[in-house]
Amino acid sequence: MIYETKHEFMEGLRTALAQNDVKDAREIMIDFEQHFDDGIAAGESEADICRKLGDVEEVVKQYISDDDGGASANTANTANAAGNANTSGGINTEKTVFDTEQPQTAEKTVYDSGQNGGAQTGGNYNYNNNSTNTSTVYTNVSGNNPDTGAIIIALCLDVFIYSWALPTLVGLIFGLAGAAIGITVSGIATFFSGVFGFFFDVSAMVSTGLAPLSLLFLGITLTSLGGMLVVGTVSAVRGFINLCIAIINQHSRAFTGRRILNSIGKKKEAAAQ
Amino acid sequence: MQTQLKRGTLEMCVLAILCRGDRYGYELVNIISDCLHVTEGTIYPLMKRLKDAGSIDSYIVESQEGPPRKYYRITESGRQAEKEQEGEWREFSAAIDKLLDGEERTA
Repeated sequence: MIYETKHEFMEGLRTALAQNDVKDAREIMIDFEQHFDDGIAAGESEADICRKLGDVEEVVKQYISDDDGGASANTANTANAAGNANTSGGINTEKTVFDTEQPQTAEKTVYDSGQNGGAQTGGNYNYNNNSTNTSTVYTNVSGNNPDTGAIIIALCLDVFIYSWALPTLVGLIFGLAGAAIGITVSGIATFFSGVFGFFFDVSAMVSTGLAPLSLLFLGITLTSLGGMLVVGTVSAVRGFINLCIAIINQHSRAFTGRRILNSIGKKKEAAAQ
Repeated sequence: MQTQLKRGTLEMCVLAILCRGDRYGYELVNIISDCLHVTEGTIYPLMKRLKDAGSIDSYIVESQEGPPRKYYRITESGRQAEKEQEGEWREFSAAIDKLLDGEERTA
């Protein structure tokens, strides 16, 4: 059946793959999900993409004939035919190239047996549908392409990161946050003591050795300085979180070939673990 | 008949396209469907078949925007297979052309 939306197509595909007990269903789902995402990015409508992809059952049948190996014989047949065209003549050629029913019958048989088996295994695929918009992540782990180089880099970085970089950064950020809060609060306090001293009681300010007006300006200066430090701290915390996400993604890439999180500030939605 | 001819030669076409450079799925599908009327969904099973046969290979490329993309590239054995199939195809199609054009009488 031809669907109208990506979501319907993916659901239909998932069901058909599960029913027919097709291997590597996740990877197949990812292929089609990417096809949709690329098509949508290129300005095609979901309905158009669905129509051009064709019947889901038909697509899934092709995967089944893969396992069978029947369809791949086609190329060989063409090659044979090409050879025959020169040597023995037309009848043989026609027979080989256009003998089309046989692979189809083979597909049909496998398809049927697959469907029987599928009754038990159907629904076993871990199909996470976290959201309904077009950027839905249907499957989280592609399960292939673990990169040895990336794993080695990840492990070397880990020693450095956990033993020194992360503790140092955490310390720096706490120090920065403490200073930011302290300076801001003392700035505000100085400012108000300046205000009150200026209007009401000069003698109360004697112990500081500063004139009320000076206290007022010192308060403003300190508050501004504190404000800047607060901004700096927020940005440092953001940077730190993004660094952590980058570390997590590097590991995820190394072991599964796929990112699992997006950095904050770019996209809030992240594929759930 | 047209459908079956395509089915048999599509694998060769994919190999030929990948010989000229790596492509991701959507891109490859569009290159093919620009020239041939194909059911686009059947190209992905074909890619998997070629991959299982060791003629092509795939790798993931991270992109800043959106999810990572899967690229296909030809392997050495795929390149070899393409060369053979292309040669055979050209011989075959030249022979058919000859028959269709009626040149066998003059030969």
